[in-house]
Amino acid sequence: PNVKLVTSDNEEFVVDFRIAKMSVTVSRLMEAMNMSETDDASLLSNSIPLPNVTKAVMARVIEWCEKHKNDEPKEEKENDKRGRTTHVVSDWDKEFLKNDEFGRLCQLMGAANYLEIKGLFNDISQTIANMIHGKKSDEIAEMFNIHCDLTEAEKKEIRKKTAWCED
Amino acid sequence: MNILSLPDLVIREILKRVEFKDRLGLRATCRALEKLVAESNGGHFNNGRIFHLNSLKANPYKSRRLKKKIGTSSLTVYSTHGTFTDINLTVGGFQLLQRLFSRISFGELEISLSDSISIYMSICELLKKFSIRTLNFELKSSIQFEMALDILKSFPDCKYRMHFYGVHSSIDKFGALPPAEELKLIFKHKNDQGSSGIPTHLFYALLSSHRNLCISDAILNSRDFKKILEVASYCYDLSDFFIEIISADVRGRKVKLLLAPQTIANWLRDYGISTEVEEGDHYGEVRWT
Repeated sequence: PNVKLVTSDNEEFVVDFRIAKMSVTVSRLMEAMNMSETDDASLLSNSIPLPNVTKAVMARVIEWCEKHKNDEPKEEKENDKRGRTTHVVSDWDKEFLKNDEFGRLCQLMGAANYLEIKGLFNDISQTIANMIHGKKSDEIAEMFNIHCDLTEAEKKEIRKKTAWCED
Repeated sequence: MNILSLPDLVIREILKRVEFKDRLGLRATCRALEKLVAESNGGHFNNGRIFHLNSLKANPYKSRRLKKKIGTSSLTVYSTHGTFTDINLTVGGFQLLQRLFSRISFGELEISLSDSISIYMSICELLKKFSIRTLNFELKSSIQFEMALDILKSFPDCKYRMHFYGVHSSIDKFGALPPAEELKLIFKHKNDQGSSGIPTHLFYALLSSHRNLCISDAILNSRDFKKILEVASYCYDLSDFFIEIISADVRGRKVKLLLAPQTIANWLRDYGISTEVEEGDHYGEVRWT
């Protein structure tokens, strides 16, 4: 069975029921609209409006879901060698996300958050954390399009205070 | 689109995965991120350490390297997540650490206290932001023991292990300790053997309270020891007795009692065994062969 998803720019995506169920938000909406896997009529006569997701972003989300539809649910590891909560981004996911410039990554993350697709959300947040890793503040500001509102004196003071952790 | 256009909730989720060193970089990018970093959760660490530089004496190379960088008046906070090190105890340095997270959680946190009250106060201030499952203390003085007791009061639900090396006082206070996962009391050796050690009544109290117990020297006579054996099986391994309690207490536990030669000699004397004993002599059920 298929489910119809309608984006903010009125684009209709017809996706497999299993893919639709990967989003907690969509699942809840289907339940509220009495749409069930065994009731074709309910699936055909209804569509799920997703006003916070654009066509371009939805296409990316569906591409990710297609790849992961048969995945076993996995928990985040908290026992990596540094004892930190980590999410291992698979090679496919790295490849999937690597060409997204930061703005698109943010849009995709916003969609994953809204649609409540935990795996995609974790993939992107870990990817962004990895992008930050090892960068100096001005490099981070440039990468994230952040306008620095700190004065030179404040920056100097921060550099002084953080000097102890520089290599 | 910049990162600040994402909902705060989403940014905090990213920050959970950002390492401490990178948090420093992030907070220096703009005021909004500075605030978000300070208010974010520092995440969970399986292990962490807080220890004063002096405790690095055992590792001269590391000690030299760190001291060169920050001077001896520093508190070094380690997490196993890279090194979250060298937190200078000057006001600025300490405030900086306070600005890197609002809460942080540890599976196990090891604290090596020093006798310095100012360092202790700083650690307490820092611990207010910590959620800890198990605390491990390495203590070397009575002052540190008092400090550890106070810290434990602030974490009533926290499990803990305490290793106290060079014990020579605080004995009455040991009774005030909440049940520990492991309590290790290593007494300072004195020439006058009778002045150190745990009195029998306190030994029994500790035995019943703490899950795993290691005491370097308990003042037990042979009759007291027999009482222990009545509820225990034991095996002899070099100079240590390992006693598995098999009483009604169902907890898996280990008791390690390291006895001074003087104590063992006293026990032998209790059974009439001395240098004058000859083969065939006996004392009660004990026969010298």
